[in-house]
Amino acid sequence: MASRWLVVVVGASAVGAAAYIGHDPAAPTPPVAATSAPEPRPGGVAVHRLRAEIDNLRRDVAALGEERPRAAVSPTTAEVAEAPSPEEAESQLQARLDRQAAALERAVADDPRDATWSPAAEQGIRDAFAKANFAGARLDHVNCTASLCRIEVRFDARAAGDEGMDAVLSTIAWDTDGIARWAPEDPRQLVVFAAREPGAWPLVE
Amino acid sequence: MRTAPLFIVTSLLAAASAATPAHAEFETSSSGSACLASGSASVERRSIGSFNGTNDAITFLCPATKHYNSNIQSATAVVVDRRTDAEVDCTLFSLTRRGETLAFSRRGSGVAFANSTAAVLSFAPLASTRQGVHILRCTVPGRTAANEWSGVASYSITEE
Repeated sequence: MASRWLVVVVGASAVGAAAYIGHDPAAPTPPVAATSAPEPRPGGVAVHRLRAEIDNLRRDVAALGEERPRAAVSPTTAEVAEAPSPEEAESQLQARLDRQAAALERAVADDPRDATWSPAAEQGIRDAFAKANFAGARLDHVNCTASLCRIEVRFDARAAGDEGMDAVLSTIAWDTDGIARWAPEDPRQLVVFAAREPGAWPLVE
Repeated sequence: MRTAPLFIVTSLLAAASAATPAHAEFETSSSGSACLASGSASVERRSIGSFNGTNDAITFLCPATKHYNSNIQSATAVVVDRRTDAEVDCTLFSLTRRGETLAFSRRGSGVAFANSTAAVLSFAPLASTRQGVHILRCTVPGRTAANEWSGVASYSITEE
């Protein structure tokens, strides 16, 4: 919007300048064109150039008017007015993550095991973890139900955990969707929930 | 029986997502040549993507554009897997701006799969924080004995 007004203002200024120069009796006489190039309009080279600029600006303005409204890449004024503060947003996110984690914990508790899959999945994760030989990390717990796995890893330091996240997720060797979360009560404890089948995992909100 | 607990979670999550404002969709497609190798390894960049020309597996990190306050509605990665004994596996991450992982979706081409034709991996929808980021991480096996390279041709993310 601002650029559009800028174009309009600049265009209007240029029109005024052209009108002024075009009527200036002291304006220098343009050189005579030696070829069949379009005959310059009265007013000299400077005016001609200005008018060309104005024509360009008019085209730009017209193009701006015809431009399709783009989908919002930034919040609209209304959204900004309604948007919570960064602190509120952080608090809302944390609350949402807490609810999500609680729901997944309940799902793990309620879901029965699958004798044909659960033990093998757990062993696969344990083996991959042992093979990776993570320094400063310990696989505390892995529990796979018939629908999803809950993996709990404790790191010596949170920094090691941030660096080791990729490696922990690499222990899951099947197509999956899931979430990872640092336990609120212990920032060195990482809890990962991974679905057995990607299609069965809900929208992770 | 197996889907019952997940259905409960789905209901809760659907209620949470309904509270977020609707946004237009954006699809951002990137060439695999945007992918960088993790660590000291280097990838072979071509106009048709990035490939692993070494004998060992390499982890590719492929940056993705994320718009403010958007979530991943869908995403795909087009990969080339030439190995019959290993797969190209990719994980799409939704991270906070501090780098904490929120959600992930992993897909692989399949260990037994090997083809000169690219395979399309389709990821699940992922939610994000307003100023969070998305990243695609792919583990690409080393070249075959016949010097055939595996790699990432392109990837696309549709946000809403």
